[in-house]
Amino acid sequence: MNLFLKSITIITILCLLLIADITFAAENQQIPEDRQGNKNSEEVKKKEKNDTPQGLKTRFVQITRENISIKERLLTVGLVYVFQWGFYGASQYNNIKKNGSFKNWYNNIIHPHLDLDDFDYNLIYHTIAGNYYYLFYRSRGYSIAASILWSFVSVVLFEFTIETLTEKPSIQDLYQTPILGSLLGIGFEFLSRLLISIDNVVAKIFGYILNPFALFNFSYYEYRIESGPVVNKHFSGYKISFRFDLPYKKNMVSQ
Amino acid sequence: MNIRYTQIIIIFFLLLSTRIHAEDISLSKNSMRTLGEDGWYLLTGAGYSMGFYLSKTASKKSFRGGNLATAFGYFAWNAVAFEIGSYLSVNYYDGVPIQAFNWYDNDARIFSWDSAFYIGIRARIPVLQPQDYVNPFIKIFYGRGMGVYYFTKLSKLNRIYLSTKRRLHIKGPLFGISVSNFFKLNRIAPQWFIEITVVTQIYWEQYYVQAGALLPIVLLKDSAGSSDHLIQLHITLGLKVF
Repeated sequence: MNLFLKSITIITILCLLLIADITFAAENQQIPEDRQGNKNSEEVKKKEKNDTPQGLKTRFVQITRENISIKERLLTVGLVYVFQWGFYGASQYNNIKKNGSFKNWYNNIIHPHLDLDDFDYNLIYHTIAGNYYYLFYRSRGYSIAASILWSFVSVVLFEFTIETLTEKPSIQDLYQTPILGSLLGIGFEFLSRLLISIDNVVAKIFGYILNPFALFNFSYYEYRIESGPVVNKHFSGYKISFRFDLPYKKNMVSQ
Repeated sequence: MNIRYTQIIIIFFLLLSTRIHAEDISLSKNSMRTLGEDGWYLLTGAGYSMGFYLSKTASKKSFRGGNLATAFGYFAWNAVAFEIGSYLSVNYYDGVPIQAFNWYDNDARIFSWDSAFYIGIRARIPVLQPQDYVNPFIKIFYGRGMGVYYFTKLSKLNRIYLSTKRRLHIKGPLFGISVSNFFKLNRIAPQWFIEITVVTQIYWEQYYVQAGALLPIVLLKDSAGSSDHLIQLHITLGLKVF
């Protein structure tokens, strides 16, 4: 019952906001007039045409690409791999200097084990790292499942060919980094898209902090017009647009 | 007969029966509305954990806590899924006997963080026709687990130096079985599930560890093996992320 009342309250507030938005949009829509006060002159028509539409609601969305070539996938994972070497070298410099060796590097590969790290490393730092793997692949236009899979590939490469310099591959890290990280990434991406969609600088900053890859030119994110007021001499209304993907689109296309 | 051969035979018949059953399901009008569309999936959920610690010295002691379950896998042939997954649980023990190395304490208070990682097979329960509210699966799995124990109170303080930076790691193989049911209200809402899992973990190796500047420092180690068991029951409520 409590949940029902909460749902009704939320729906009511949303409806009120929508009505308020329409009303404000209609009120703020000033009917332009020319220097002589004529509202139907050619000058007014020209001005109406050039005016930027106001009150548009946009949504920040990720564009999932269906056909990413193998070459691009390998280049992307290669880029991540180079970054992994750089990050590991910089952050574990003392550890590599003290415990690292080429002998370790090839001996440790065949000895994955359950590591003895504390929960801060295993559950917090690795989850955050996995979150960035996931967000990076998402920013390149990968689907959710593909992002998790390629995050997994990157983590395997890290555990078996980079971190073996100093320690054996960790079973916890192999699983938790891509899976828990991706779960965190799914939440962060959703929240960041929501914040970036809001027409507010502070919200956008927080959105980009949560998902910094959305800032870059290479990212496959874009603003998509979702809704906006439509006001003219004869009609005042609110246009809502949406799209959805058919679940069996591939089959339909092939047919 | 070796236990591994038994497992292989069970898995084979499980696969066979679910595959045969899948052919019937594919003809059903309900099949498209329930879980089982081939492809990758990610499940996540949280719930309640309880367990029993069994050892030679401690006959049976229970504990309780919460768990976080995740599973990532591929569903194939509208019948079976091959998945990797984990159960992470945080538990609280009070007044339990603990035996590690040559220590013994009969009134310990412990916070534990248990991790179970597995590979497994999830399959439809044969003979049941899947519906929106009845879409049951069975899962069997094998893996490795580790329990990390932080002591907060001991009756014999001279045996173990209490410190938040020191902890006991116990690890070993595990086996488990779970039964789950997936619910689907409509095509738009995410599917959700309830799962009951029983895990048996054998404690083979023990490490007493201190946090180090670079890597953890092992103070004591015992790899001789132990017959101690941890039997856990997880009740998880979760959803299918995709």
